[in-house]
Amino acid sequence: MVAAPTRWRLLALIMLFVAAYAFGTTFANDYVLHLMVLTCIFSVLVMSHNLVTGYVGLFHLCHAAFFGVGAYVSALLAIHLHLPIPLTFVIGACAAGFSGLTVGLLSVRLGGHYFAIVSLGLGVIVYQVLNNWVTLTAGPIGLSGIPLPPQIPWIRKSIDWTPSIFLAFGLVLVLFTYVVFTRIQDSKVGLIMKAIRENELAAACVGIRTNRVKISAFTIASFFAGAAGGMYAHYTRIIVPEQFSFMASAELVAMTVLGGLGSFGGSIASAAFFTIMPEMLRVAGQWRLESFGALLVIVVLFFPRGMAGLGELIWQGFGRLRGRVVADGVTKGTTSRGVA
Amino acid sequence: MGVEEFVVQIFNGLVIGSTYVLLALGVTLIYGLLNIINFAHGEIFMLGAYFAFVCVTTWGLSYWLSAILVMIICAAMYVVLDFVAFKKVRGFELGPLITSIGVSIFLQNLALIVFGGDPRQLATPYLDEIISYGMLSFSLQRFLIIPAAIITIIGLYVLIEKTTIGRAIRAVSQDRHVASLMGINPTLVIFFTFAIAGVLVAIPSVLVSPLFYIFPLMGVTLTLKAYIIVVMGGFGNILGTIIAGMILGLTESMVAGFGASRWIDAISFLVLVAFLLVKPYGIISERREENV
Repeated sequence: MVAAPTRWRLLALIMLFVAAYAFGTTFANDYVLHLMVLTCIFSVLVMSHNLVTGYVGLFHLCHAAFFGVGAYVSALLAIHLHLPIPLTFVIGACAAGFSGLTVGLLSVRLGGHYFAIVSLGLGVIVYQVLNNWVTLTAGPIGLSGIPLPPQIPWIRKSIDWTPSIFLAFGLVLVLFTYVVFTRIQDSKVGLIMKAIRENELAAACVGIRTNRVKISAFTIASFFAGAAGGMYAHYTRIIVPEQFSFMASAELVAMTVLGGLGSFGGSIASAAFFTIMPEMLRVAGQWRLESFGALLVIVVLFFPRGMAGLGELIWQGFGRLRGRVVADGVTKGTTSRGVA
Repeated sequence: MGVEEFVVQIFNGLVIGSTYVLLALGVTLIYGLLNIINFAHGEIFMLGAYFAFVCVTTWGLSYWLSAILVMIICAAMYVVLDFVAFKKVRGFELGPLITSIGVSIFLQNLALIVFGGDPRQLATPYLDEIISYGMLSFSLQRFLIIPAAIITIIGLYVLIEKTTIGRAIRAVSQDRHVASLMGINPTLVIFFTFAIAGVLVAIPSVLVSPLFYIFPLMGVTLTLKAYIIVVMGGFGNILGTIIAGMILGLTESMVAGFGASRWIDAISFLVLVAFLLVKPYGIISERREENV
C-alpha cells in the first residue's frame, strides 16, 4: 500500500464520497444513480471477499451465498413478520455472519484446495435451500414486493427512501466497511493475517492460532456481505436465488482478483468497473459475458496484481517524476522513496 | 422401497458412479501432476458432447467414429487450454483456478452463441436396445457406461504403472526438476498428460450425453460433482477417486429413489462435508510434506 497518513487518507476518502454523492444527486440521471448505488453494494461485497481471499489468503467460493443469506433473511423477516427494516437489516447481517462462522468452523482447518472446494459446496447447499424450499423462499421465482425501509423522521417532515437516500446510505456503508477493514489491516491482527497468508506453517510455529484468526476473518467478512445483501434486497425489492449461485460467487472472485488481492481501494474500483463495464460492453451484445471471461484470464495472466497494481505503477511513475525534478533542481543524488 | 426397486437403484447408482469416476479421472490426473484445480473440465465435457452431436446429427457419421473424433478434439482442447490458461501461472497456487473460471465462463457463453440455448439430444443406436433380466430392464446405452469405466480404469492403470511414459509422468509429478535432470522432458510429459485428460473426459461425454440433454450450462454441475469426488478421494489419488465416485453415485441414486432428487446437489455436498470432518484429507490421503 502507498504509505499515506491514515487520517489524511480518511479525509480524502470522505471528500471523495461527498463529491460522489453531490455528483449522484445533482448531475446524474436516474440510471447513473442506480448504477452508483449498485456500485456501493458491490464494493462492500468485494471488499469483504478480499479480506478473506486477498488478506488472509483463504480462497473461498461461497461469498455470494452470504450475500444471499443477508438478503433473504432481511427480506423474509420484513415481509412475513413485518419487523422494522433497520432491525431486519441487522438481523440479516448477523445471520450471514453466523453462517460464516459455521462455514468457517466446518472448513477452515482444511488446507488450500480442500477449503476452496468445501466452501464451494457449502455455497451450493445455501443456493439449493433458497431454490428448493419453496414454501419459505418462493423457490426459483424469488421474493418480490420487499418493503422499503420506513421514512426517516427529519425536522418537521419525513424523508422517503429515494435512490439518492440509498446512495447516501450506501456510501456511508462503503466508508464504514473501508474504515473497519483498514483498521483491521493496520492492527496487530492484520499483521497476523498477513503472516498467515505468507506462510501459514511458519505463523503457526511462532505461536499464532491460525484457525482462530481465519475463522474470525471469515465471520467478519460474511457479516459485511450480509449487510450488503440486506441493502440489496431493500433497494432492488426483488431477489431471486440465481443471483446467489455458484456463478455469482465466481464473478465475485473475478472482481476481487481484478481489483487486486489484498487491496481494498482496488476492490472499490473493480466493483465500480464491473457495474459499469456491462453497460460499456453493450456494444459487444451477446459477446458481453465472453469478454468477461476472457478479461478474467487476461488479468490473471498479465496483471496478477490487478487494478491496485496498476494504480501503484502509476503512483510510482509520479513519484519518480517528482523525485527527478527535485534531484535536478535542488539536491543531486536524492532518490525517490520506493513504494513498497 | 421393494427389493426390485432397490436393485434398480443400485444399478442406477453404479451407472452414475461410473460416469462420475470417468469424469473425475482427468481432473485427478492433472491435479496429481501439476496441483492445478481446473474448473473448465465440465466445459470441455460439454463441448465434446456438442461436437458428438454435430458429428452424428449434422454430418451423419457413425457413433463410434464420432467418439474417436471427439476424443481427438477434446485432447486438442485440453492442450490448448493448458497453453492459454495454465502455462504462465503454474507457479502460483490459485492462478490456474481463477483463469479456469474465466475460461469456463467464456466457453459456456461461446456454446450459447454457437449452439443456442435449446437443449439437444444425441441419438445413438444403443439407446433403444433394451436389456431385460427378470424384473429389470434398461437400455444398452446405460449399461455400456459400466464396462467403459472398467476398461478405462484398467487402461489408465496400465499406462501409468507399466509404460515408459507413465513412469515419466510419475517422475514429473514427484519432482519436476529432478525428473528433467534424469533426461525427461517435463514440457512433453505435461503436454501428453493434458492430452490424456482430454481423452478421459471425451469418454463419458460421448457415452452419457445420449441419456441426458446437452445444453451450454451442463458443465457447471458436472465440474462440481467431479470435484466432490476428487476431494473425497484424496486429491490426485486414482483409487480414492474410484471409491468416492461409487459412494457418491450410490448415494445419489438412493436419494432419487426416496423421491428427493431436487436436493441431490445439496446432499452430495453434505456427504462431502460430513466425510471431510471425519477424514480431512480424503479416503486415501495425498503425500503431504510441508516446509517452512
